[in-house]
Amino acid sequence: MIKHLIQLIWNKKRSNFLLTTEIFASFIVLFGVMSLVFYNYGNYVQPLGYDYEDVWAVYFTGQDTPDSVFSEALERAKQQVVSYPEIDGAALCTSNTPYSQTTMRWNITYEGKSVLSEMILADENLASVLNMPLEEGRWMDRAEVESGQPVVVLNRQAKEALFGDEPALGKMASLSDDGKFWKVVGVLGNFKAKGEFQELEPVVFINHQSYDIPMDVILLNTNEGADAVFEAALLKGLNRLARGANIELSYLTSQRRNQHAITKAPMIIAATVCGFLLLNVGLGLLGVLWFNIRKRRGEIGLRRALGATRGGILVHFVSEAVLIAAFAILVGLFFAGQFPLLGVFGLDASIYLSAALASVGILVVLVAACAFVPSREAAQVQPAMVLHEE
Amino acid sequence: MISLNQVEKVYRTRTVETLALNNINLSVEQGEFLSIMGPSGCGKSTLLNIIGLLDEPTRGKVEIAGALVRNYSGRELAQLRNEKIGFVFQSFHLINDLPVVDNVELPLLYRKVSARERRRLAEEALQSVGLSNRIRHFPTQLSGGQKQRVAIARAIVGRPSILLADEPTGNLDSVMGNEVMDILLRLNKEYRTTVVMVTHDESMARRTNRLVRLFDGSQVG
Repeated sequence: MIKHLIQLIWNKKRSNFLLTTEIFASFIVLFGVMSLVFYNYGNYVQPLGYDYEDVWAVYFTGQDTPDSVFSEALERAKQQVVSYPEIDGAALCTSNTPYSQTTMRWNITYEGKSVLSEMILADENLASVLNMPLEEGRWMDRAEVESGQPVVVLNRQAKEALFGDEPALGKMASLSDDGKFWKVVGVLGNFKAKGEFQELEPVVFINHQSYDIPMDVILLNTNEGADAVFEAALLKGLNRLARGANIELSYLTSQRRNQHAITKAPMIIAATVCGFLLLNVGLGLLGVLWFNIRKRRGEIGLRRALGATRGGILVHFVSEAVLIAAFAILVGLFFAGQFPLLGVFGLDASIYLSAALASVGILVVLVAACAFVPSREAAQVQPAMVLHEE
Repeated sequence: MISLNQVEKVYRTRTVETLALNNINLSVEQGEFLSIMGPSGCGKSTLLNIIGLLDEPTRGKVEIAGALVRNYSGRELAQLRNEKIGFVFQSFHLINDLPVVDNVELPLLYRKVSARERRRLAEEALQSVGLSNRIRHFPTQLSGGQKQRVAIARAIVGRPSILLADEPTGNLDSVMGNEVMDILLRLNKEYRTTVVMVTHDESMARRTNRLVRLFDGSQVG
């Protein structure tokens, strides 16, 4: 029967061409959207690696202040804020804080192997403020920070990229060309600096006193006492301490919301376009099938007379629609298959595979559902009546 | 082979009730060639539809090839139609998107017959109607007489014991009509296929074994 249906479809290829093209175009768009969705979902389900609730980020920008003065002011500010009962902890770091738009990428090198990593300069308190669990070793300690010891903590991705299966602790890695080496003292799990939707990437945390880049952020771990009144008082106190600096405070939860909006916007736009395309396919299919069934009433009556049951007619017309879709989808799969083969966008092949499977599933279900209603009407055709009509 | 006992068919709408067949008693033996005649609207096609299990009588009993079909399900009726009955229609009812041979194979698609066997039987049926040189043609490339011969090949491909023909020569000129009639007579004679034919043509009816006349839904001769 399948061969018979394929033959019928093939012999009517000219009248099926538009519908096939429409389904093909929908498949390609759907495949693109699903790839985006699976990519983002795959990232989203990976552990974030830190806590963002109740964490405030205070950004300092000094215009004409020398770095040394600026750093001292920041250190004083940090000492000051931890004295507030509303603050459970404070840590200094560079402005590439979690959920920020800032990035700072650097090559970390070990025995000639370089890995481009997000580099975050931090002090001894960052791990506790962000509640980052360590998988191996420890975080940099106060003595190391104060004495400017070159120590580095890697996240899992940086460790695997640089050392593979070998132990990382105690190894000396380079972050500059001046022959200076940083000792690996700890390894974290994941650390997705730009939030849940970010791909897992190498991140290195180095002692801020060991690198010549000024710190400009204090991350604060607040408790339930930290309300709007406290926020105002805090900003007032910090402005007094760091005169001449611009101070901005934001919550990591707000930054997270913004970051998510930026990630979701293209997905929502693409999904909306795709939704309209699918609606178009559905309506087109309904129209074509209604028309075909009216035109083919004689054929339906004949098939019933020759031994087809009502169910058989229903299955016949649904199968015909699904086979037309299958042909369009096969062509679409050929093009979709080029993405992993050519390494387009550098995404994992499993993402493309999942997207292709989901797109096939969605289209087949849509086509079958749209074909069902007119096909059911076809099954109700009275052979005695239509054979006489002709 | 065919037995109709006190068959009545009434078509009802909200406002009108039409008696299409009234107390029809008919028995057709195996190998008989019966023709049904009557003016338009007298119930000939309704009678043929009931014999062909395409319609149900309002009252009465219908027995086809030994099967009393009153309580048959849709699936059982479809199977009985497929295995025991072949249809030939006035307007041929060929599928224009399929070549001749595939049109002929159609009834076998609804049986468990292998593709190879279907093809063999279809070619054999086409040969028996003298169209073995047209198997790859499409119906639109054939004359009316050839189309009807394809329809006959399709009707006999499944080796049915009953052939129902609804004005098979109605759309054909006299030469082609006679050719088609010759084929039906030959099938009736060679394979002892029971043929029931509705016709308006007295000359065709005279060539059959028996003639039944209908008038206003009743059997008048």
